[in-house]
Amino acid sequence: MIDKAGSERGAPGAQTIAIGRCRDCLFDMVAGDLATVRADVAVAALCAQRADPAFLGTGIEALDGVLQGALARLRADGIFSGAWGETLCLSPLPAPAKVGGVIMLGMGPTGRNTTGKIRRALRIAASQAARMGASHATFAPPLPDMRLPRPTDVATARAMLLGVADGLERIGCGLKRWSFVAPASQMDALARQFAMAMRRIVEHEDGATIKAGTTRKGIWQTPG
Amino acid sequence: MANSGLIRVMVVDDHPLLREGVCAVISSQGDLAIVAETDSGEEALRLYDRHRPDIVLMDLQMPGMGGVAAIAALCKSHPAARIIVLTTYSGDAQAMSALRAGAAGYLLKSSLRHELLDTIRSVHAGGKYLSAGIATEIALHLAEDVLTNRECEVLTLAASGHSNKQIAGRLGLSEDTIKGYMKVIYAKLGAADRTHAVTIAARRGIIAL
Repeated sequence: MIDKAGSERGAPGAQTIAIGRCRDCLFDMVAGDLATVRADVAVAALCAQRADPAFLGTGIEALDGVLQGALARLRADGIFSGAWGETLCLSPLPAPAKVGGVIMLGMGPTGRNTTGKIRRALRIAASQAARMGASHATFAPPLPDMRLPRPTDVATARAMLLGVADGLERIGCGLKRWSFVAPASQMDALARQFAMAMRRIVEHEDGATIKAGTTRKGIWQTPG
Repeated sequence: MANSGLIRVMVVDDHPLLREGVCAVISSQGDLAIVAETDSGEEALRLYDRHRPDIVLMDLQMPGMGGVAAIAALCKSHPAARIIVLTTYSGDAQAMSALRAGAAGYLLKSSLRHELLDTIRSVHAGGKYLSAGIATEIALHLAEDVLTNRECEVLTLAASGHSNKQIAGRLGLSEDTIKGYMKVIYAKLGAADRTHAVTIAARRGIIAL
């Protein structure tokens, strides 16, 4: 389903900040949006709220533009309801999209979720990305200007990292890179949140996704 | 009926050679198994009751009960049914009908082997799948009005070579009324004439030729 060369295409010139690693999967933050950062698959998190049906979210609207409004239309028509945990995969994407496929990920009626639900939603997305054969996935985390009630904080960032790791553990996949995508103006602040979340995981919860009885050391690593 | 983690698949397609090919591809996978195959929507409903497959691969254009009607009937009697449409139709109208009827996936027969397999696994895991080209087609016709059932009926008869007078006779309406319908159809489809309207409607899957 995915263009396997996609992960090799890279994002020349894009500003990138390493966050850390879980097993073979590198986490980083890349400046841009889901339409412009090259990857095998982009995960677009959408809530179901219809108060402003045209608004999809920062980083996602550019991708919707490349798809000529398909994401907004699928949500407006109820083909994708935005129910929590719902996924709708679109693939292969036509040029000029720089991602091989899209996973629309439902975040519930308003996007107001506990960290537990955010973690489970990211696990679902990472699992689907793995099933699509992706080695590099991108995700635009919620930002304050997305008009969602819960902008990214350290706890949310931690839940996202753990959710992706849960997906890796569950599917045992070839996902080698997970990039959080944000506008260049907000990238540094977000990267700090994710770096802090990664440090917390490494210090206090190393191997939190590993089943009981297996080793808990060396699963998570901070950069350098 | 469930069996050791295997994804159990039923194939519904009236073309034996295609059905055979799809079954061969699926049977070559360790985690997938064919539990039933048939060439009609009616038989699919009976076989579903008997085998309760995890995934149904459904063609749209079949004699008798078409694919969309079969999907609607299956989803009504078995709301948990996971159905993937496997079709040659890339038109937005067919896709919307199938998805609204309850299909969880829409895949073209021109898709690659691994796309079919990945889609079966994704849909079995609870996801939905749609070819991005079809999603874009759907979005392109965002602002357009859909044809009513009567307008589709008129256009289908026009596509069969009937004149306005003959259509009027068939439907028990006046010729002027049919002319009015045709004008509305042209406007909705952005068509210049009768042939153009038929071509657009067939391409988009609004009517079947």
